[in-house]
Amino acid sequence: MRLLSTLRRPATYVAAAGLTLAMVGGSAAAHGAVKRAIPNGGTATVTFQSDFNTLDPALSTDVYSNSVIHALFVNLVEFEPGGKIVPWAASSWTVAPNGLTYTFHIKPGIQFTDGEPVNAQAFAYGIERVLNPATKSPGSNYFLDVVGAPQFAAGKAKTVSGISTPNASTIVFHLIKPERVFIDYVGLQYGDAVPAKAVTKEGANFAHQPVGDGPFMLQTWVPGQKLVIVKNPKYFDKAQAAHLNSVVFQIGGQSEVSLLKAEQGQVDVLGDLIPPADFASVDSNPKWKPYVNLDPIAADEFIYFDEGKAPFNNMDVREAAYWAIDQSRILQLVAGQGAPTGQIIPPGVPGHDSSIPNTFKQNVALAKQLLVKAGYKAGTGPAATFWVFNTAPGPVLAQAIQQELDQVGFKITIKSVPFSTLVSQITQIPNVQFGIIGWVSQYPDPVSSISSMFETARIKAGTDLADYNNAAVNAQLVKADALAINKAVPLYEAAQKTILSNYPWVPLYNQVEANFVNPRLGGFSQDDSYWFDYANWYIK
Amino acid sequence: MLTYVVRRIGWAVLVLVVVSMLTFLLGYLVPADPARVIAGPNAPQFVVNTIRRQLGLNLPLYDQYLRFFGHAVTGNFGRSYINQEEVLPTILQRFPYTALLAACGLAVEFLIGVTIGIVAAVRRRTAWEGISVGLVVLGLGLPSFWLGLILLFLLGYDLPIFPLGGYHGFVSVILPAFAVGIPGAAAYVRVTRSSMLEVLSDDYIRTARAKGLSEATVIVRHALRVALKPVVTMLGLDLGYFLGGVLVVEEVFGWPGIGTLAWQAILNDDLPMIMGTVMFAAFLIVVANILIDIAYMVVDPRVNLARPTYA
Repeated sequence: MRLLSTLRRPATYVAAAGLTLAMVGGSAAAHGAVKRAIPNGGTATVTFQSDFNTLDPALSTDVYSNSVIHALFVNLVEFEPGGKIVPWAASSWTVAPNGLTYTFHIKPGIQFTDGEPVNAQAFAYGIERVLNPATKSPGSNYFLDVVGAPQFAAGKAKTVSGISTPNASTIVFHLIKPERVFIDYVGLQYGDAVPAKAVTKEGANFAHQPVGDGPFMLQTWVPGQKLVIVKNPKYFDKAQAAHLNSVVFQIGGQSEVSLLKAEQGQVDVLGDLIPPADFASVDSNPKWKPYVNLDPIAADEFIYFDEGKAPFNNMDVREAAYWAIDQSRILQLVAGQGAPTGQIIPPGVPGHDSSIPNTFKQNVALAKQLLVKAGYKAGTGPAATFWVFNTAPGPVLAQAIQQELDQVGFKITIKSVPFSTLVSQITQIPNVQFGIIGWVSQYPDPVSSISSMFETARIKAGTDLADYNNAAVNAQLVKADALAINKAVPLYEAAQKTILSNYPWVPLYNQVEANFVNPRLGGFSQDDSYWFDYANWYIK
Repeated sequence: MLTYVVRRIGWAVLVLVVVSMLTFLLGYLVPADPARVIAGPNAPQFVVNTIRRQLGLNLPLYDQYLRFFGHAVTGNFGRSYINQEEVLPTILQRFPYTALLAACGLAVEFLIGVTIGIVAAVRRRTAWEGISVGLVVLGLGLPSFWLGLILLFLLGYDLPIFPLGGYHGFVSVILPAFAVGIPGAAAYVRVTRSSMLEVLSDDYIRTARAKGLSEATVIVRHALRVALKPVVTMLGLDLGYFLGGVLVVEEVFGWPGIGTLAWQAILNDDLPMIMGTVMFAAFLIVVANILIDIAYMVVDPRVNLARPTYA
């Protein structure tokens, strides 16, 4: 279960904003990296259980759609594996010393597939469109720190005064306050340039008939059945063009059936990953072991407690729940698709503290003692409702957690709900006592991993799931958010230690994506920013 | 007849209105906020509020329903909250696949069920009757999703004769049609058998035999036509039900029909699409019922549903 920095649900991953993503693992080169001589041509086939929601960059929240959008559209900058941000449509950029002005210089000669130029005006149009209330974009909050953006987003201004385009190849953003992660935001799908003429002409249908400028273009989309993208002959960077002629997405069907197709060689990649129930048998089968691809990603799976309501407003109760959990059993249940963690910031994200142990041992006696200290009779504890996504491995983990907590005296009721219900409930602060969730960082910065989950302002925004409210920690995080990363890291590390000592979470594991990849496919990797980078794939 | 049809259409409209109200109410009661789902968990509250206003979600329930109803009667079910697609064109685009699966599933049900039912009735107190009873029990107990997965594994993976799900031409419909039809055929066996047994004991059948007609002629030309009346009713009901989308089988086979569309809409709390698929299915079931009743009166002039009968 992953919350989009993003909330991420097993069957349909939703990319949410705000979380920093450190791309770890993977072997593919990004567009900015030096490319080896790689064969061109061929078609790769990918399965997805659910259809894509949209190919409109302004509207996308799920990682499936984002992966295709990344193939169809170009950002000013791009994320490389390891978290480095490299130029893409921009040849270079500068940040004013006070951190309030970002100036991007755009490469000449980029155009959309309908011939419209990709210039400063196109990027300005794309970002204003995200902020426009009529678009109903879930990405508008990323750009609210641009001068004039709050007024525009509230419908009180006709343009965003803080975006200027002095010429066709220069776009300037003026910010209300210094924001180190603004460079990350322009690298997300919401920062894509879009063609004004095509958007105006197609209206809402642009989501299904996009006109882009990326290494691929949409050839056909039969809803519920198939989507095909083909190499874009007009892509501006010939040296970094896509290798494959096309990628075919087969949509629909159970993930177990998709695995059978992959074993028959009909499919190259499982978009929904290896079904958890099949992972152990696939991984232990010598025939299929070479097909198993494990990519750790910057995503946490954790239990969170709402500190603002009983019974978890009592720290002894939270700590008791912490020590009641058997982390090793949880890892067994996810069958190796998780690396244990004891902290909030995932590996690969600046601020990850290797001095914090990754594992903790269950301590039932201590848990019981803490409940007595909290005022409960020996062997008893509070009643609470535990919220979880109703797709694998959520219900299985929830049952294990329920058993472990009941063992020390808690009386736990499980509420297993669909993604849409859970998103609604957890973002309405009074509604959820505690639960388990996954949080994916979509860009490589601690803002996404820790600030967006523990700053006081995030309580009202709904992403501070623990309702954590600590003035000193908040001050540390807010200060760190505005600093250069090398100066910010000590503050994030200190804040994390303080937070962990208050037990708002039980960090369980960092997610490891287990995919079934045909060995004929080269350049494959999986990450949190783009899920799959199809432009790097090739047929060996 | 015309008066009857008009009366039935009137009742059908009432049924559809009640279905729409109940579905709308159930969707409203689900503890999910579509505006928050659209905006995403990180969006500030004012963005969520703006979306809520734009979609009319801040209006009272009855107001929202009346707005929906006012548009629905013109064929406008709005746009999906999730992917912004227009609801009715999306449903109509998926409908041919569901219709194909429905027709083939019905054919499997009918051919297997009626054939075995006739054999069981005609070959009473023989091994054939025992076999047919056994098949009925097996068929009724087989969940269609389990049968679908077994068929896919055996005939799509182990022996790759058929495609592993999805739509790849007519051959793709065979396995899902059997997954739909075999469990349903069991009911057709029972109804056909009991109906045939009843008809075969009628005087006119005895007369036909006494006239020297062959047993095949007696069964096919004389008995079956009458015995099939309840089967026709079942076909009509199943047609309406299948056309609304056989959700479980469509999900297993990745069939791009209305069933999978409805399932995704439910998972996403996409109320416009839920309303559209439910109303579409309800409409087809109601129309199917009306057509079956009219067909009765046409096929058998003795049947006059327009005239009330008295005990």
